[in-house]
Amino acid sequence: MLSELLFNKTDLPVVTRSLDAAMLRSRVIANNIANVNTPGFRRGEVSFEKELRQAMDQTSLQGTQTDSRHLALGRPGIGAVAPTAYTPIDPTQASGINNVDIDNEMAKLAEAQIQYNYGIKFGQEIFKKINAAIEGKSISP
Amino acid sequence: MPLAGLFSGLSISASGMRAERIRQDVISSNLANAETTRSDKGGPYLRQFVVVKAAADERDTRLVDKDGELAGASTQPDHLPIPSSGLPRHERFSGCGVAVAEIREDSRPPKLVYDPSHPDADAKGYVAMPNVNVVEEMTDMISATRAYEANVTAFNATKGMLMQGLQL
Repeated sequence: MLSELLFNKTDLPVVTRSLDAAMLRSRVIANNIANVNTPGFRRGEVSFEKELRQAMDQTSLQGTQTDSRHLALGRPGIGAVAPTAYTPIDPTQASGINNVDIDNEMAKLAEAQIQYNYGIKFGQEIFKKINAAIEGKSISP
Repeated sequence: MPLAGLFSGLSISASGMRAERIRQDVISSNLANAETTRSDKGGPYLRQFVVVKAAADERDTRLVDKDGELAGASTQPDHLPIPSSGLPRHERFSGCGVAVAEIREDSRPPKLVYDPSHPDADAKGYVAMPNVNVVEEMTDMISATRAYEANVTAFNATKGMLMQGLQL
């Protein structure tokens, strides 16, 4: 109830999705790194940004579902965007025994970490603003 | 987190650290026994190596399985897309770290070294020495150490993220 009235009117749903994605991504990368010496292993990846961009594209039409049996039409709502882990089809053997490139994985890990920290900071700001609004104070810079 | 538990990222990295540590243990054993001419089974010590496999998690495959969902196909640019969360060209992800499948003995033949004074020398004066190549073990050791460090970094990254999460 409160989330409908208050939190969902902010960018919080996007922030939580992005945090979910960064966490899942770090998990998938941790799995790739753990299997760096596993012969025949195929690295995983997370798809999220494209789906989020589609959901946030205000220019495209969005269908409303009033029944659980309705088909989703047009762009998906923010609530429907979820990060998905998958195994890309990639027959190359970057390291000779599998397709895990350790430098690439470490870079992506750092990226996921920064994305997560950014999400946390952004979320903190949102809560700060909500608190300020409730208390009727101005936000100290 | 849509998949598995909150701390699964940590356990994945831990499984990687464990696998690399076992690899390191086996390499240490090989190096320690590089000159061992007697073993319990008779004959010289045989080089051992670790066989690892990717650990799959049933739970994950089920959660990511979206084959049952309906997907619309847009054949015209002005068609409205019926979104599908399925990833048709990709395979489903399932992973929860790495597991040591077995520790196997190297089937390469023992090295024959001519040393008639050795108590284990055969009638022709040759001693069967372990099939351990010290240089090979050293390079494997570097590989295991670096992979272990990479797993520690991933572990710390996940830990840092979880700690950051508490700040929200």
